[in-house]
Amino acid sequence: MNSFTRLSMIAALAALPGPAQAGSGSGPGEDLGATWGTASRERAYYRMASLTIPEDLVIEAGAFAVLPDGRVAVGTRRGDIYLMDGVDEQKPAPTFHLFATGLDEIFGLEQRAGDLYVTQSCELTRLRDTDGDSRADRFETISDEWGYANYHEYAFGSKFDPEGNIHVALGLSSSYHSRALFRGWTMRITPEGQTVPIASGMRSPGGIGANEHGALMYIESQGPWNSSCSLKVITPGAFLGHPASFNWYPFAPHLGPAPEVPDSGSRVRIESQRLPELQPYAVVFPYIRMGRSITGFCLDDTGGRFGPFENQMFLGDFSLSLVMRATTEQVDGVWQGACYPFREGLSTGILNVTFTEEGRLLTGGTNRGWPVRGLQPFALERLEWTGKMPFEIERISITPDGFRVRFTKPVDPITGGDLATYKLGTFTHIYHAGYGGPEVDQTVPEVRSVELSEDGLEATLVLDELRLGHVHEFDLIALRSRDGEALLHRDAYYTVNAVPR
Amino acid sequence: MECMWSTPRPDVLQGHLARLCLLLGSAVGALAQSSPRVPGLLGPHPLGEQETGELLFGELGCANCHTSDLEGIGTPLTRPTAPRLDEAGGRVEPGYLARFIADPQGTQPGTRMPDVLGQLPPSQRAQVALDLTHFLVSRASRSFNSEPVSTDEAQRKLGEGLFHRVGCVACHGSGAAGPVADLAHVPAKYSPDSLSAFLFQPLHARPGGRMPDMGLDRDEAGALASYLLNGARPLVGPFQVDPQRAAAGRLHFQELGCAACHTGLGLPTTLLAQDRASLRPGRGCLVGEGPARFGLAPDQRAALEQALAGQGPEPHPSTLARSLTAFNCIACHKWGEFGGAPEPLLPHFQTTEFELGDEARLPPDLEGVGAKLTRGWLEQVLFDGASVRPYMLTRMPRYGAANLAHLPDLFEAADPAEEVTLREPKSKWKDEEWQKVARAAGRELLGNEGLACVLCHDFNSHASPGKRGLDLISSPDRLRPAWFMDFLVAPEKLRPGIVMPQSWPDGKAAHQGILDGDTRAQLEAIWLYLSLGRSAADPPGIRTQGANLEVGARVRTYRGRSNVAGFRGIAVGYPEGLSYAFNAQNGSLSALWRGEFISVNWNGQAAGNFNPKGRAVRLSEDVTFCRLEDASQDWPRAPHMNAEQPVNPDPRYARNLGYRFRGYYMGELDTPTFMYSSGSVELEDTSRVLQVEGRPVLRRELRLVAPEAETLYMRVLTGDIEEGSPTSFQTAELRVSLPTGETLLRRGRIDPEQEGEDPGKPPLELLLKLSLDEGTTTLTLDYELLH
Repeated sequence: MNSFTRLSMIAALAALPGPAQAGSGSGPGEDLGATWGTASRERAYYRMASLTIPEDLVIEAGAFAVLPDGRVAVGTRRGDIYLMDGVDEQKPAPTFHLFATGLDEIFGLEQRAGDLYVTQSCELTRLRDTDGDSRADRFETISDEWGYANYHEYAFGSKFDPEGNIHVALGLSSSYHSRALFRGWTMRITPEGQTVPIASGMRSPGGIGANEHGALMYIESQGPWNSSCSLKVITPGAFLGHPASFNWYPFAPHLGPAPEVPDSGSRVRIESQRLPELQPYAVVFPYIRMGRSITGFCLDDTGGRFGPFENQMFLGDFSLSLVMRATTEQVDGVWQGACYPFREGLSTGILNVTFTEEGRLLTGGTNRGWPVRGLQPFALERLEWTGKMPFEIERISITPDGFRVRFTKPVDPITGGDLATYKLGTFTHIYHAGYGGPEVDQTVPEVRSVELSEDGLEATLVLDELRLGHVHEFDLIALRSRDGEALLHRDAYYTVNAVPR
Repeated sequence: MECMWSTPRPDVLQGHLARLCLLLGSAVGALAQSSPRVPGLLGPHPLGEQETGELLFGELGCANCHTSDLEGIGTPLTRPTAPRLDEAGGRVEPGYLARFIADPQGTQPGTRMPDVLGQLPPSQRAQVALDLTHFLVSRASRSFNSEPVSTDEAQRKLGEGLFHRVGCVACHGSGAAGPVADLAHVPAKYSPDSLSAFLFQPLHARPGGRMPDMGLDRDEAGALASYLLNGARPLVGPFQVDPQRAAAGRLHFQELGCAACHTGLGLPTTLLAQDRASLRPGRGCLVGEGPARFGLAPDQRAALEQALAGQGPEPHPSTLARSLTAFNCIACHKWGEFGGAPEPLLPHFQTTEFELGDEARLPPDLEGVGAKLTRGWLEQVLFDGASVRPYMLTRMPRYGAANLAHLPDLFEAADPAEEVTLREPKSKWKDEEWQKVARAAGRELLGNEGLACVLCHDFNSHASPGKRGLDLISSPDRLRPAWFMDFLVAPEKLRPGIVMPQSWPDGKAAHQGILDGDTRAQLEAIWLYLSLGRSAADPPGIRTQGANLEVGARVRTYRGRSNVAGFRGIAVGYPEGLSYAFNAQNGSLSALWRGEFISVNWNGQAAGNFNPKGRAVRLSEDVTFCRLEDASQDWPRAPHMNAEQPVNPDPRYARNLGYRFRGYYMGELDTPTFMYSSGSVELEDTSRVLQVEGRPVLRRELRLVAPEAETLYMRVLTGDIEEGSPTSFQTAELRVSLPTGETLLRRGRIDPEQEGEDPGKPPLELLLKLSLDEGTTTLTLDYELLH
């Protein structure tokens, strides 16, 4: 099947309605779509180990924090915080020490100076063990200056930024409504404890944190005003795409009046030119092909111990139980970048990820509440680089007239030098109030030339045209490495918002 | 134990004889010269003589020295199987190490370790063995811990149970039953710590995987170690490394070629023999004259010679049989006419679901596995320890992904899967509607009004109300559709002895009411429905339950939204059987109840909401402290939201009245103290339970710290209040005792939005006027439930 047949099939799937609640009794359930089909090959490069969880514990991980002593704190949807040691052992069977319990849906965890900062649905809380018995005994409310009045109102907390701020991403009350204060907003909680609303327009964030250059980003879920999941940049004053939360601008007078409501049925590219506050998607994750419900993400800061993707973002997906990669770059003051498949076949819906002290990727989550591919009700799994170099697209960067594609292994000059190897397509999405939406405005750019670097690690492509506002899809199925290997993952997706001059 | 190899094949006969000899062996073993044992070869096995030789060639590590054009023999099983030695000096008792090196078969009968000192004059052997021991001990990061073995009988019992239950007996035998990889040497070799660490992750010390990981957690490994050591380990003194001896040992280590088989020390592999000429019948190691003397039994030698004679450069085709024998899969699994646990060991294969029959306790047959399991699941079982039969107490061991990497291909090649075209062309349902129709029908078929599958199978992690057969939701992940459908139609044929009923006897649907009784359509429907995976809605007949949170000896605090405490609700339960709820949105004590604590909903998207287990007496959920101009000013009213007005019109209501929640801290027995403020007054709010005349009373202590003198009102109670005394007020359900002070019992304001209020008679409210001095004021209130 060529990639464009695949495209049209996926486009048809993408028009399906959004997630139904599992077990609702209204129908038999919902199909999750095809897998990448790469799990068997992936395991040679990234092996998976399951952390043994004692039988009497339920660990629906929502957030992780690595402590200075190498232990990992895990915050759960059930409101517990456990400290795990031994997560890096060859056979990980951590002891789970209960540090705190009775909190409300933990989706943010950070440690500083012996304290844990916990983002739960109701507030940001500082947990402290004052008597040294390794149990939190002081739960101080750092900020609860947001409304919490509808069951779907989750709060996702970032790590500290260099200024000591924590940012909290507040999902809407429901897909179309913001009924409680600042639902759909990002709140900045300063080191002094001030809570400042900084950006409106979120729908249903799944994770928030810095990209590899330190810029604040969050992951948005497919739904109204979002035809696909995407990474977006949060800057003070930004409007992140969903206008339901405009009603709270009077409570954030420092930001002035609400922006104009975008035209439904338009394109983000068009609307963002008209509405300066509107943030375009930095990285679009084509729906189903690249996740359906992307959640927590973290940066590979392992210094190469996790393989060739140092300083890239790793993102979990809840519905499809997999992990993806993303790279970003700033062009002309605008953020954009690409996403890549990484590892599928995890056992549960991934809600968050973190790198351990020794450079392994810890994943965790649950499959409660929505359709999920992984069959375990909850799991903690660890991915570890085997040391064997996968043949992968390491990253794609934009050039004034095309792309530079970097690989993890030298490519073979014959397939790598052949224009026909570089199958590209572009598309964008409708930007509208409807729930999700199809890929539209497809084009097939012409690859005019390809030049391989001497070391064979980089291909520089010149295209007839770069389409602003479009996802540029790469399918390099025909490419081979110098030792004749096919790419572990043939696909990558670069979102073009700006072209360097 | 010479006798076990002394009879010419046939294999099966030999296996039986071998077992017989083993039974006798305990009596004569000390006298007999033993030979290396490969557990899979001790019972009936599928290998002919040449294949046995090929297997031995790999298992004894022959190819570690003899490389060159011999690499084909025994592949792909020729990984070094010898233990890593970097930590051997801390894992193994040094005295034992020395004895073992000097005389491997004499110290551990059946070991695959060859005698490498046999080539030395007898006078030197003990010295060289000791030098090697000094070297190994010098390289270990931890010294051997000679703590005595625990005498805890419960531990030992637990270990004994594990040994028999999880599958150790399949290779190591039990008493006189079954093949034996002897464990008699274990107490002399290990300490409790080192054996426990080894059993916890055997692949760490022995990456070859012939001793697999049985999925023991640390406690289980400790208990098993305690059982295996059986209190019998002799105490030994500390071992002092002599650096000169260690240096000499290092030289011996290299000269003797130890690194050809043993890894972990970072020393280069020393190849001793490079060509085929070095391996000839009647010479060298084969006859106990070479540098590595295995003590081969005559038939082992014959088998090896046969393998060498018949060996071409290509790998032998029957590698599946060799793999299943090398890893002793056939000790537990049947494979064709071979394998399966022998009769005397069968009682050790146990289950928690007896009603499911042998299916629930005996590992499944391996015949046809390639056509049965998806590639992905096969890999997960072999490499990741995945399992779907929680009731089966014998565990599928983990042999190390690298060691079994070749196996999925072999299974698939042995049993090619049949391709199935889902969606029969003659089907009467239109293509576009079929999936929807089919999935609804599949759900119905599985439910209690259909074929009632869920009465014997768990579904989607929800317990079946009857037998707890394996969770059906995993089927499309694990099984190939052709096998699945064949199996449903004739379970007995593919799994003889299974208790599963036939729902399509002779291919005819027993349930004619669904999909017109079309067998093929029903089978496809079930498959398509299960293919929804975790998103599949439960079939009728499966129920989900909430969870009760219980209070133990300490106070329990739980945050979550609740009908009795709002979204920022907090429930506090006391061991005395009294609980209350606190609404942190406005600082109100919002409900009290007796009896059990709370149930929490853990199903669905945003769960975690709680409900009191007892009947809750509700109090006003509005600000509790406020500044009034005078006693005639109305108490403020929190904004109302409802279907017509879903958006909070005054989202900062409590905050604008001066309320801020600050958190809480835990005191004695984890009793929480809530911290909040009202304007500049900081409050701490702690409740404890007292027993007054046998009834629990909630004593609430409020500590108010005012930076300057001011007047504050506290609304204590609302509703139909009766005044019992100036310090005691009650409603029909609750009595509150107050400190002496200025109280005000008055009619509240009519709330037009509050349904059910009589406009002519608004509810009463009890206010307590607090004239605070600068500094700290303490108030004590008692709450007593009257029902």
